[in-house]
Amino acid sequence: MSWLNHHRSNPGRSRVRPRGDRIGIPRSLAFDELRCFFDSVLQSHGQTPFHSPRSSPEILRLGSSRCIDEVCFPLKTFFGHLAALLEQGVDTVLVPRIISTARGRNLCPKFHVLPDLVEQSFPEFKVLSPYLDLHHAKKRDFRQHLFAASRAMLIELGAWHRHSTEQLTLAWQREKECRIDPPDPPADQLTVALVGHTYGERDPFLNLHSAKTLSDQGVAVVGSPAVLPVEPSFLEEGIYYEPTFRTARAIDHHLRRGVDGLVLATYFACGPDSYGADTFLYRLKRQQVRVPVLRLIFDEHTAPEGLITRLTTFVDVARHYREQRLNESC
Amino acid sequence: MKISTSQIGYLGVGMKTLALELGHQWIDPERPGRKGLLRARRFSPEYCCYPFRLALADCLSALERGADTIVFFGGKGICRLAMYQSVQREILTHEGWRFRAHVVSGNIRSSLYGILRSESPHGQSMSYTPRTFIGFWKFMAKLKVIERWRYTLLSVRPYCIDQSAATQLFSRLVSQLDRTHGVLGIRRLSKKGLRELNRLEQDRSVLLPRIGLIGESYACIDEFTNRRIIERLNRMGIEVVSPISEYKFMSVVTRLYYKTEASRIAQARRFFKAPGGGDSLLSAAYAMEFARTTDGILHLYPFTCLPETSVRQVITPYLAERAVPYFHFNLDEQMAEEGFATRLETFADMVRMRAKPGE
Repeated sequence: MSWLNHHRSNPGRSRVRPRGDRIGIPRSLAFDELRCFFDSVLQSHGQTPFHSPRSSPEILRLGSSRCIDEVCFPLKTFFGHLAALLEQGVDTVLVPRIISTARGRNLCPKFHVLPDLVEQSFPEFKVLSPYLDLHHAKKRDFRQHLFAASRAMLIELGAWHRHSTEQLTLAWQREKECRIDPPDPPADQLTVALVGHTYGERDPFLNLHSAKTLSDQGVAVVGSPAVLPVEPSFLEEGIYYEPTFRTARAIDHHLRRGVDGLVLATYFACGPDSYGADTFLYRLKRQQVRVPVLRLIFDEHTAPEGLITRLTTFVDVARHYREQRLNESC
Repeated sequence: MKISTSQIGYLGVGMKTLALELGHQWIDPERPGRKGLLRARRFSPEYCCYPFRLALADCLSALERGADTIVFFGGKGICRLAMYQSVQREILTHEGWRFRAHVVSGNIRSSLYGILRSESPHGQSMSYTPRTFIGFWKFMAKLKVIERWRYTLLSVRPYCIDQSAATQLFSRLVSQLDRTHGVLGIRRLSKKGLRELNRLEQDRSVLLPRIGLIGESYACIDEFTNRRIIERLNRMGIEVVSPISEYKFMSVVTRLYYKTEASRIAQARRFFKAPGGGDSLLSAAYAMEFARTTDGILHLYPFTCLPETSVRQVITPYLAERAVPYFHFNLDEQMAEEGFATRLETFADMVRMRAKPGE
């Protein structure tokens, strides 16, 4: 098959038989994207989704020993999750190849080749990799495209049957139900938005427990909305990386609703973050946005003090700005 | 328009001819150097990749020399090269520069000279006249000539009695090519260059060890970026095989390489079942080829380059299994010579030991 056609189809492979019908799902990177959907699909087809343990320093240590040193922190943790699954006797893992989930945008190059990195670094695993590339797909609807990718995966497992389409529809419903935003914090509480990659926001280890540190200081922490806001943002021009695009929309969403501070969680060696964060800072400055912004660059930090002092100082600044704003409005 | 763009290697030689052919004025930025880099570093994002800073230095230099239009390659893509333009435009505008920015994206072949011809002083009705085809032909032809010269230089220089003469000859030829704009002139100069390079005095009595060079285009082609690593290796008595050139870079950005390098890309499927961005497919394919045909592999890329770190992740176990000497240099603003030199010498020793075991 020529590479020109590769975008339009995923080559089929021989049947995969997971040991004990368990399919390992690493609790990192794209885990929170479509987790409910894939869990539901696998369960309804006689497979058991087996999640890796929560991220921890031990997981990171396992991952660092398996991958090269120059990759980003979330990817090292991802490799650690795979190593943990291997230790627990799992022989088949689900690692979607997510190239694009929207027209005109794509994910980081690491996502494009993630199953290949797993295959080369963990030859013990059989890798299930549903192929998601909406930008090049003939089906313009993400749901249909996802169903087609899931169908290919189920055929590979030998699990496709005549009721599978209904099961996929139920799984999609379940996925939509999983996407709920937490309730809004009270108006009189200092509110800080912690925005960045979805996995960075949702996995406390990947943001070095920043949300907890902020909460301990009496701050209400809000993250990116579960569903991408539809209003275009002044920050998103020229941004085609999906995570950065979502962060742009999330920042704009929070600024419209009113927050007292913004914490940008970025990762050292992250391609999208290396340009996206600076672009946001320039554009926020140009718009004279009067909200303090703290940019954090995470990697394998072992000591929390540096982060705590930065967040503490930031909370003081945010409090000061809030008081100033309240005095002005009075 | 007074056009300029960020350069990679000798890409400007071809771009200049294209711009002149379409009636524009070309502004040559300063060659990459430490001064430009230090200036660009002040404005660059903290951990952007190294080529970004060099490209920004090119833009600053071009604007200071009077350019009023900068052509940016990008818009959309896998590698973050495509995001350079949004950040560089923000930085340059913030620093007070006023210029027109043209972003070449999507189908780069048509949009590149589409932009140049749409504002040509010859009139917007130029459309696809012979002049635009000739301009584009000359652009790619010059890059092809440089590629042929470079390949010849790499195969001849390690055996030359006077290696610096070979380097100087190459530089002279490129300067002449820069001043030549006619079709016949380019062809004659191409043949003349090959003749002169092959005529250099050589000593082929001893077969030298060979290493293959793979990696990101900017890092492999640009001599300031890679600290003249190929010359250094030649002086250590090692021949370097490098398939990377400005022509190949353009074939990657125009996606022509899916056709011209189809068989190699098919080989790369062993590692990558989807494009990983940048030169990842070619790097992986050439790594497999060089594992069979050379005595070692040198992998050059900017620090934290996304596609090349993926390549490194997959080829490291492959090459370790086959006991192929493999060394990677992640290039950034390293200013100290010693660390670079000692690593290179150690690698050269490993390669010599493999080429002549027991010595």
